[in-house]
Amino acid sequence: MIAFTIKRLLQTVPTLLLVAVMVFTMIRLVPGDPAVVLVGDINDPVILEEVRAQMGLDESMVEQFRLWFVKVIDGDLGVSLMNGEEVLPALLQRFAVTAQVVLLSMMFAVAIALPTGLLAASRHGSATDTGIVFLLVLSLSIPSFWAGILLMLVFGVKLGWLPTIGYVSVVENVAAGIQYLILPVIALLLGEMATVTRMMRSTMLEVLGFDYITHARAKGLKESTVLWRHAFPNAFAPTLTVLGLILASLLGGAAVIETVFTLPGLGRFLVDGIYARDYPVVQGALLLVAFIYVIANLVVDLLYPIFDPRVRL
Amino acid sequence: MSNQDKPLLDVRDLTVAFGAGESESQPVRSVSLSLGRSEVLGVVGESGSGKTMISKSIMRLLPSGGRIASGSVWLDGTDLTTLDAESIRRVRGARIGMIFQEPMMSLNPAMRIGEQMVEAFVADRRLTPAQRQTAMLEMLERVRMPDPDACLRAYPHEFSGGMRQRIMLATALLMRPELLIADEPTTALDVLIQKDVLDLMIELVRDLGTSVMLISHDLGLVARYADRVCVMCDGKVVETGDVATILSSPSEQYTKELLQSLPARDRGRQSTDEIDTNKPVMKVIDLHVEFGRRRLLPWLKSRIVRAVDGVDFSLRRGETLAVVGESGSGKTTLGRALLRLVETTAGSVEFDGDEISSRSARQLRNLRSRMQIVYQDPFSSLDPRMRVEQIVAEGLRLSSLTGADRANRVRETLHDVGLSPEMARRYPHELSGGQRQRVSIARAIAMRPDVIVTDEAVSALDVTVQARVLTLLQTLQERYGFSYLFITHDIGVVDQVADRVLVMYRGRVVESGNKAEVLDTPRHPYTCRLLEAVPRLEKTTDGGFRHSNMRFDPPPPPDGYLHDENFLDINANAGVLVHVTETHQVAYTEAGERAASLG
Amino acid sequence: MTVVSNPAAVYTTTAMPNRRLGEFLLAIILITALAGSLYTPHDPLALDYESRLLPPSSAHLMGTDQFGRDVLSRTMAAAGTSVIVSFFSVLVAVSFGLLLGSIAGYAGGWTDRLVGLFLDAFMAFPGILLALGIMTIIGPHMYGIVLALGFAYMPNVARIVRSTVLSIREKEYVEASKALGNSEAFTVVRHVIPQCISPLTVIATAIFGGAVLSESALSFLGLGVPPPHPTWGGMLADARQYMSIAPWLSIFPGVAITIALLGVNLFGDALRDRFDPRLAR
Repeated sequence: MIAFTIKRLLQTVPTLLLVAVMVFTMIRLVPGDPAVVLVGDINDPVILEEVRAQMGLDESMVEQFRLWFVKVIDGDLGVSLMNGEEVLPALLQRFAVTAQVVLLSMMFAVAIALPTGLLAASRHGSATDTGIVFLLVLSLSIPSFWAGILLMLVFGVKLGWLPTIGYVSVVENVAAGIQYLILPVIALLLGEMATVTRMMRSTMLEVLGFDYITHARAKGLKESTVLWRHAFPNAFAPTLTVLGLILASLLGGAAVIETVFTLPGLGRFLVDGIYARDYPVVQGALLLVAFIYVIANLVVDLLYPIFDPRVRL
Repeated sequence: MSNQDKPLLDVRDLTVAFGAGESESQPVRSVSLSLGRSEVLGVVGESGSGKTMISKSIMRLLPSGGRIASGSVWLDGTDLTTLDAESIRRVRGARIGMIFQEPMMSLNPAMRIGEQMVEAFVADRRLTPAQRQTAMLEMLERVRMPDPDACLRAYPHEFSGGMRQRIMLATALLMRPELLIADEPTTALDVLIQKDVLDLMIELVRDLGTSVMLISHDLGLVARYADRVCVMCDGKVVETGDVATILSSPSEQYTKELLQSLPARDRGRQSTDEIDTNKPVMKVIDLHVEFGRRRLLPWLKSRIVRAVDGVDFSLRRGETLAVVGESGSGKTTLGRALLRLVETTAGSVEFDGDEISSRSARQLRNLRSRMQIVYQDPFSSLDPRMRVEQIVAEGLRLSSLTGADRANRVRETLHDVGLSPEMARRYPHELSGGQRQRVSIARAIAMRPDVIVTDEAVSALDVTVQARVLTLLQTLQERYGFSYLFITHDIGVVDQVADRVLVMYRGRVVESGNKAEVLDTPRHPYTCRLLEAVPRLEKTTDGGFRHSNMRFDPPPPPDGYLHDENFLDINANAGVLVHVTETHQVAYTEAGERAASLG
Repeated sequence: MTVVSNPAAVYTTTAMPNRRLGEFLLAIILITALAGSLYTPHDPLALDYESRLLPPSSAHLMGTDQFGRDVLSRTMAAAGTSVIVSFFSVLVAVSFGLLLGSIAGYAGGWTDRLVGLFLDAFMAFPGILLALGIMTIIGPHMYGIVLALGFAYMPNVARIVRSTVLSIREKEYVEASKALGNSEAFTVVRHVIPQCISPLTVIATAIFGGAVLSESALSFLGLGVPPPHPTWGGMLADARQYMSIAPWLSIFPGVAITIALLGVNLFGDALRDRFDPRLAR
């Protein structure tokens, strides 16, 4: 178990390193003088020289990467060109908003998906199943940003029940904070809920075909016991892996949703950074998102043996 | 009439149907059978005979889409087909227990053994948790599980297939059901373990007075354990009766055919003298194959598996050398290593006087057409996207034959293996299992190789199909003079086709010799146990069959040697192969060495 | 022996009506895309300040936008943009993914591990953010977004191809091909690559849907196909300001995206059912 944990931890190191290389290279691939690119539209030769020296542009590429990477490890992601903020604290502050939306969506998506998938699989081939399957495809086919717009149109503009744009921190005002989160969370969870349900349904169908399910029935167990006690845990483990992978699309989707509802989140920050050609922010945001993704999947893999004892090493 | 005289289980006129209208199929048609108290009934049939569907309909556990179309199933005066869901649930487990074929998938991998076993008490709320615990431990002890306490806390994957099947047996018998349905309970197990599990099962049910429905494709196995047998074919009962009668004087044509299909020696080749003098086409010296890799870091244990561990033998022109062993004996790896389909670690393979184990890939390719292989699984050994003629012609691409000659060769080869010309345009999925195996053989013989390795080539086939394919292989050998390295776990098949036999255990040869020497006068303790474990039917003088329980006691070893009793110990030194006759070799321990290791 | 029920039969039966609907919707989108490039009721780019923000009427079936452009014509023209961008994105993703995946799967060993590491790192970026990053380098061009989406989806293809190649490589008929004396290269071309076609078709369909979605999302963010090219995402982005006075602007492009995605997804599910029942979701 400990060996497995250490091995899995060590596996993330090269991945994270490569992620850093990719982010670093990405900015270097932007056509033109990296210093000019980094400084952006500020037309000041003094700053330009300063940045050049800072980036060590006379050094080799490898050396430049080393200098940059040492700083990144140290938590120094540079300074935003938009407003001179330190990038890392700014990112973390924005991430707090994104995390709320993403985690809430995921929680509700899973809470709806698991029983729905189980229901569909246990009634496989019935009208209930076919209906659920169709609704899932439909909700996969509605882009989250359009779902957001429709929700705004109905609950914000027409009915006036909920605020359409803006953000109030839950810490400052719980009731208002929640009000601002409801619509973005719903818009974001539709697609993910469908993905998880489909995964749950198909794994359940596979599990229900195994002999140990027939064996459980042959012992005279109730159908509900067979489903929840025997089939569900076995179907849940593979579904868990999908949750880790879904995080990527949730974080990506958040960038768009945050733009729709003008939430001050990480995605919105990144998009603004791209508009403003604020490369330290773009670099930092991409790095942070990838880091979160890798760590989340590490956690999923480490949790996996709890649900599937065969993986216990 | 007292209750005791009536049969426990009475299946009357049972028909099971899937689908409806035009696509309706009936895997079970008007089947009637009965099973008395404390009786063991064997249900025998080939694949698709409907025998499994009967057991599933008794339990009312038919797969989705299936239904009982007509008939009734009486268990001690109750018609199970009319019970509502709740009532049938009370019958399952409590009155009818069930064991499945695949021990790897019949226990829930995510639950501890104890958690699964305790569920058997679902219908019985009288016992306290402590009493349940005691009952489970007692039952695990009766199926001879070492350390029942630890067993309850363990997960299924921690046990071997044989152990899991014992756990299944313990779970099924926990509630002392009146009837136990065992559906191919040991088909996935090696023969020695198969005997252990079945002996145990029969001992237990005799003790508890449980009736058993033993479903199997293996007539020999049923003959060994059942009181009565019911032969099925195509969803119908062909013949029912007590075992001895059915074996000695079967009345139905199908039963006769089934018995005739059993591999038997008298259909094998008579004389092997001529072959003995032929020079070897293939010679293997001290062959080693290791898998896994050595770790570079000293504190990590290298995971090396010695699949083949010092094997010597030679294969003569036109002979059939059978390599026998259980799973993990290294027999499959040995066959692959001969053709250099896996790399050898040490030792040499000589083909027709040429050393080939050090040949480059390019040089090897020219030799490949002279050594061919036929695989076990007729599904995965043929490319699903190619037509039969393309598959057979593939090896001819590299030959010197011209286009027209190639087409002729394909036609001729298909004819040789008994496939009609219209089969040439078909795809593998349009063929039956037996036909596919014929295509596989055709691909191997199209280039007229010298040596053909057959790796469990008939193991996946039903017994009647198997008999025909074995005959085909022998006919082809007579016509073209192939040498076969015949890899199999089935002693009956060996008895029919082999000239010489090589018995392998954990990568080593424990005994080798002419067929009669090894099969009739085995000398190694492992060979003896193996031969005793195989249920065998022997022909009687009047043309019928009877079941024979063989006992083999290894004769005393030659002077200076001891029996190789420590072959089970993987860490022990290999025995040395000693010639007991000119052709018969047996692994023994040298007396001095045993004394040294003990002293 | 157990009677094996045919899993393919079980899965496909339920998909039948859905598959028909999928084919129907997909046909609508493809025909609209084709028709939209040849004929639209009005010029999708023509400004007409006289008729700004008109609600749907017989002259303008879907109304007009803030510049008086006909929404129906723009929605039709956008279909063409979306289909072309998505098609070429799939082409890029499949070409590079097939190359990388088959090399990794067949070579194995260190090559496989390196490629795997590279794919892991690639997949750590949400597809749309990766596309955003690539767009930053290339700039907002039509071919820029094709490359960006193509590379963002490439790892998915590479993974599927790799695992397919790995499983095919273990098949006995591949070993049999070697035993017949065929070279490695011949074996791969003859026996391994053809088996990848079914999973590739399935994943290509899925990616097509993903590309339609991502293209509209990128355009919605203003980082996709540059204006004045009409795109569904761009139209929705413009519509937000007029949400309360001209809600139809927010409805029709969204309906178009949903129809397109529904068609692709249903069709893709049917394909998956057909080619690999075990993957059916």
